[in-house]
Amino acid sequence: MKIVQGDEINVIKGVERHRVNASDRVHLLEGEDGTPGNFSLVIARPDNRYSPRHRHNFEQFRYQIEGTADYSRTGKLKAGMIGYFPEGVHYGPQQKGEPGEKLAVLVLQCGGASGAGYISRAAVPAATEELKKLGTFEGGVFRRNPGLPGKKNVDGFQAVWEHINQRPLVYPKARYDVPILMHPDAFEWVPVEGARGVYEKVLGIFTERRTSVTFLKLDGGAAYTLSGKRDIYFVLSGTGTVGGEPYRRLTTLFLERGDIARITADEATEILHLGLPDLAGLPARQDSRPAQAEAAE
Amino acid sequence: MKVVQADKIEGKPASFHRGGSSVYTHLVEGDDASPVDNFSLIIARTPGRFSPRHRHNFEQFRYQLEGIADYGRTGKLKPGMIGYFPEGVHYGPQTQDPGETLKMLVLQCGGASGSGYPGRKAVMAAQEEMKKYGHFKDGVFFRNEGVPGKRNLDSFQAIWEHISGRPMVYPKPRYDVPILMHPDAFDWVPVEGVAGVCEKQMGAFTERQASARFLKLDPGAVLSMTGKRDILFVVSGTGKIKGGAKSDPLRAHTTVYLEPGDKAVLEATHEIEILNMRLPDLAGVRSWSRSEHVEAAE
Repeated sequence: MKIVQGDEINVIKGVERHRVNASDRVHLLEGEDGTPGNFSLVIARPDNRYSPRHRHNFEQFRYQIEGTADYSRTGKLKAGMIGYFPEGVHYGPQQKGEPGEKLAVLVLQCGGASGAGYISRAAVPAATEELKKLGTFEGGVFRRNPGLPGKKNVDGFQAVWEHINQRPLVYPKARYDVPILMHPDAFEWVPVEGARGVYEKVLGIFTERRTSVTFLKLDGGAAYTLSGKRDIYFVLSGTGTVGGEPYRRLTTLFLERGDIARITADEATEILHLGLPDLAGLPARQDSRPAQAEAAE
Repeated sequence: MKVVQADKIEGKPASFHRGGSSVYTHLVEGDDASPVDNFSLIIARTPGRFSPRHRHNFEQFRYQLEGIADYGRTGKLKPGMIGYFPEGVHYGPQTQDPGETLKMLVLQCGGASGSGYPGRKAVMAAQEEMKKYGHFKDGVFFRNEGVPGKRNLDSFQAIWEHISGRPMVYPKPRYDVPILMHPDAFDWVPVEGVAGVCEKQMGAFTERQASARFLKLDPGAVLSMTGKRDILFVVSGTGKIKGGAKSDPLRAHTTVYLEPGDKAVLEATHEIEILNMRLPDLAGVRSWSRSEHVEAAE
């Protein structure tokens, strides 16, 4: 079990890499590099950031904390909305925000049902710098220098992935046609059986590996036992204790399989609960494993 | 438990509030006296159909069996695809190539909003009554001049308002758009503790968790199930299903409905693939009563 206080973590200033402009980030949680279930949870504050229409070989949840993220024909995430962005499904382009508009988004990126895994954010800066010797990043696209082998223009993140993994990125076949944008305020709270003062609203469960998003609410004084199967709990409002530690807005909890944590609310509390996909029994895809170590020998 | 053999049910002309000349095979229905959780499961054959862009106050799953259903900007359902159409969310317009006959499995049911679902008999009766003061054309109800009420209205909305005696208030959309899914892109996952049985969960939706998954049983595999308002639709293969003392064959398009607590045992003779749709759990959702609105109209 891991508990982090989101308001105590230093903000890492954004540096423009494979997208236009950058996001300041608070890195909340990370998974285990090199595994199909690797993941990253950050609060990103994009600053005039543009991203072309693209797709990934990992899945995402994006919970809009502040401002409106405009994904063009994919739709808009207004504050309080959450979107599920499946593997292999195009989205965007993401437009720059309105001048002066502050955006803040909680972003979970994780290896999904395809087994393609997830490259840790830490690997991206070095790869981007190396790629700058081979071409340029413009408008979120990597443009390879003439005469070099490989596709001339490639999505910026795809170029980074292929550089790290030394093989072409094969996108998973799309399970869903489009990203799924959800309005939590349109869902109703459902009492949790056997837990007085505790309510939930399940927004959706996706793929055969059951990636999920739920909101949890506790009345002041209510208590509840959280059990883990690779679950993230992000406090939106309220105070209390969880696993013996205090919680408040932005407190983030990660429960591994088998972890248990008792939560007691001092005041009314609302929590975003993201269930990572259950990848038990799923082998890593060959094209997800970094080839760098072998290539360097 | 209810088991129906679709190949033994005669298709009937569909209601005329949408354009075209569809034929429906009615497989399973809920209880008209319980509108909140009422539902209808049909196989629709549509040789020619147009439906304008519209939305409903109930939810749907549409599983495409034959042909391509073109829902315009919503997308297309090709054979083997399944779509979840949430309450209050626009979709369509639906068009199809002349001469092409589509075949799809359609589940319509009361959803999380509690708005319920009017039964087929009520819809057919309402249509006849409404002919006295308007007409249906291309999925729209056109009210006669001088008759109070909105002049042109989505035909199903007009029928619902006629039955309920009040204006329809669409549920606030929980999702921006319908969710179209490609089952062939999902991988089979072994069901823990059950030899020879795999599943692929497509998705579960809303706080009441309407869901769809596919099940696959190898020859000889056995799966015990306890119902929670489950529909099992055999996509392919053969086997049998036992519920209590009763045993029924399973073959393509055999349809089973399991009420909460119903116990059934499925056994595959040849590899069998089944679409399992679970109706939303509406326990505790406030009952919508037709009688409340009859009183309001008096």
